[in-house]
Amino acid sequence: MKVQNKSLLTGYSLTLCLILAGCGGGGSTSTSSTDDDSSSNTQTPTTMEKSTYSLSGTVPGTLIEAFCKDGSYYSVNSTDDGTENHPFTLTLPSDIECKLVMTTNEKQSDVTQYIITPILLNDGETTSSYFELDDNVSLGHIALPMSGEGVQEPFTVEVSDEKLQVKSFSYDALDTDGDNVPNVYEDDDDDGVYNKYDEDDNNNENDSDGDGVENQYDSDDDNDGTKDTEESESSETEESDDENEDKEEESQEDEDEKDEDEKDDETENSNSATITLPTSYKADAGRLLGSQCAQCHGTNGVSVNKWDSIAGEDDLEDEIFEDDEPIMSAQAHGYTSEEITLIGNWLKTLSKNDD
Amino acid sequence: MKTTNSNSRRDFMKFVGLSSLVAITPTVSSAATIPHIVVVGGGFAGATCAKYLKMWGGSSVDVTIIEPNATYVSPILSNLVLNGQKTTSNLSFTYGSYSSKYGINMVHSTVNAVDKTNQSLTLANGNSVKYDKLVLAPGIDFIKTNEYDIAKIPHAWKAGEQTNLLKAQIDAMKDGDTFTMTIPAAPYRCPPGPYERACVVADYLKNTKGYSNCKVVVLDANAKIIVEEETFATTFANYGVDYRPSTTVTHVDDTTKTVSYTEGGTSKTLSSTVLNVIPNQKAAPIIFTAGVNSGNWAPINPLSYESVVASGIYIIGDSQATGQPKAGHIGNSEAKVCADAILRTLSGVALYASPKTNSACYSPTSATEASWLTGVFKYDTGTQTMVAANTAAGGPSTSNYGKMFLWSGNLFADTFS
Repeated sequence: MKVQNKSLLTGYSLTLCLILAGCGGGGSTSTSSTDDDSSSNTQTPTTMEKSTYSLSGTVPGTLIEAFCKDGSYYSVNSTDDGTENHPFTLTLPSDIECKLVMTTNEKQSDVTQYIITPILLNDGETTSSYFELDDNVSLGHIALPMSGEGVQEPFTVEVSDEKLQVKSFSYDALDTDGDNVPNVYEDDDDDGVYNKYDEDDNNNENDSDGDGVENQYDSDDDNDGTKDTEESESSETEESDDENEDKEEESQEDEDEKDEDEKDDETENSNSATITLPTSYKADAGRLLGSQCAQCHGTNGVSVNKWDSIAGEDDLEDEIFEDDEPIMSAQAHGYTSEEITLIGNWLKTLSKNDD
Repeated sequence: MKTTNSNSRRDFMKFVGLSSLVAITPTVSSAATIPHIVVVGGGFAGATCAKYLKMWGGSSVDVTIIEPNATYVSPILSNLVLNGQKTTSNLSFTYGSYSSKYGINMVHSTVNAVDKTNQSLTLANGNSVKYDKLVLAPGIDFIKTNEYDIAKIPHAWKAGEQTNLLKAQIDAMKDGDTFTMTIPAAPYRCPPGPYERACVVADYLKNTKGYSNCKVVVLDANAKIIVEEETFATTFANYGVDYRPSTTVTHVDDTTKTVSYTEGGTSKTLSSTVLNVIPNQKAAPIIFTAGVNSGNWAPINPLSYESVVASGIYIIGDSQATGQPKAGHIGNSEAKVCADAILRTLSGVALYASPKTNSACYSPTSATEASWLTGVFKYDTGTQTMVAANTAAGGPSTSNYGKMFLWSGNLFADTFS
């Protein structure tokens, strides 16, 4: 599989790319149609705010779980269709890296008899537990081990679908000791019960589900398959999520200011915007120099208050010296005309309506 | 765990991946393990660096912030907590929406050890974290003259609980009481800050509390007011602040609230209702743990902020040793140069040869007026240091007081949003 856009060296990629939510991602939302074991299908694809893709395949009778970098959790049971190869379809977000764990013998009442297999993916170049979907992808048949007990050696699935990017990270919050066994399937207190099923094995109160992502950054902090944002609206009785709601405290409360002329002070702590990040770095001297305007004029030239936004400014060479603000004038005289031209050329590339 | 060969396989893949970064064939580099950049410290420098690494480097880099506190309280504007114009919650920032917006991993812990050979950190929570590049943005540490209780003698030079402690002490003052503060020897965090604080407190006691008999005493380790001298000298005179330059604090007694100091070769003591000792400063402990200090600070190459004593480790903000001022605005500024330099290095692109940074600060001198100070810094190829390209200052006014919030609003958003 070719991972196209990932090369640091070729870097044929984007100029600075700040696109709003509506432009990002895209693609279909595919829901599982094969899951008859509804009791364990915890997906809620209908209210996902981000686009999703389906990952499918066939397995022996299996619980398929996905653990994603943002702390979210997805799971589905394969469907017993009378054959050896039970189909499954798991709906996953398109813009977050996830990893899989597959459990056979999962109908046993004793969790110690589960056969738990972490999945690695190999695209011919990279082997890693993490992948990201660019479209619906089928993994084909995965011949998981059916004997043994407990956590197995990772099972490597060869993938050849370019719509699945295998991604390798040198640090993995979901697997802090880097042994390819996710934290939830470690047994920290060595009592024979995996952290995930171990009631008394909560060694970090800030990480209720023990996946390695602290509650305030965990979009599903009890790993029940329902995003915390959806739970907090509908339920007052859920234990973990409601105790640890991910609400950002509004840190920039508007206050009545002394100076009526300068009323709209301070940042709105705009937490609604989503941005699309580039896939590679491209050096840009104008952007580097122009980023130094952001302390006063806002990130990428978009001010959060009544001070001037400079994104899209098309005549910086003249405007910068015409400003009658002495602090601006002092800054302007610290730059050479060549530098101002570089900054001006970069500002022209920015959208005025970036907010 | 019993996963031996898969682990070594993974390590092997990582080795192949990293070595391919210096290879020439682009198709090989696509198999690289995504470089992991760890930023220690989530203040103005650290949070800006992580944000810009992801904004410019996107999915080609994996970025983790290690920061002890889940909530950051800005020292910028925190003198306005003392006079009741702001609360610490007004100046508080969390990392939830910020980290999800840019895809930054957050770890709230402290770094106990830095293994430069294996490029690995040991955290207080027991975990180890491997890095490909390490950015240290840890702020400052204090050099106290002796052990004393900072709950009784607050410095309030790191904002939060300390700020509220000092405010409570000031609010408990009665007419005729004395407020004494000490100013550390330069370099220290936020050059105008202590002078600003003396003005704000003097104004608060006199004009808000209506105390005409309170005294404000300033013991300055420096020979004179080191920034905005005209503004602060004039304002001190207006408020009747007792300003004593060239004083060296030698001992602090938290029971009697007495400070011992020398002035002109003479030893003196002074007891005060409220004693606000701002100690001399040095780089934060991790700079020494990592062994990247020279004396009290960390020397760096201003083109990249990479340590001159350890490759792959970058120091930004108050702990670094350039002559640039130590403050939040310029910490944000340095962070962008550093982020760009790291991304250039990972991409095999030469460092930008003439980076610019800037500093700016509005300083309240009362509950209605503020002054300002600004500077642009350029790289001097001859000395290989950052030097001032232009500096300017403006005196107190009510108009500047309003602009102070426009400045801080965009600075806060550029850093934490």
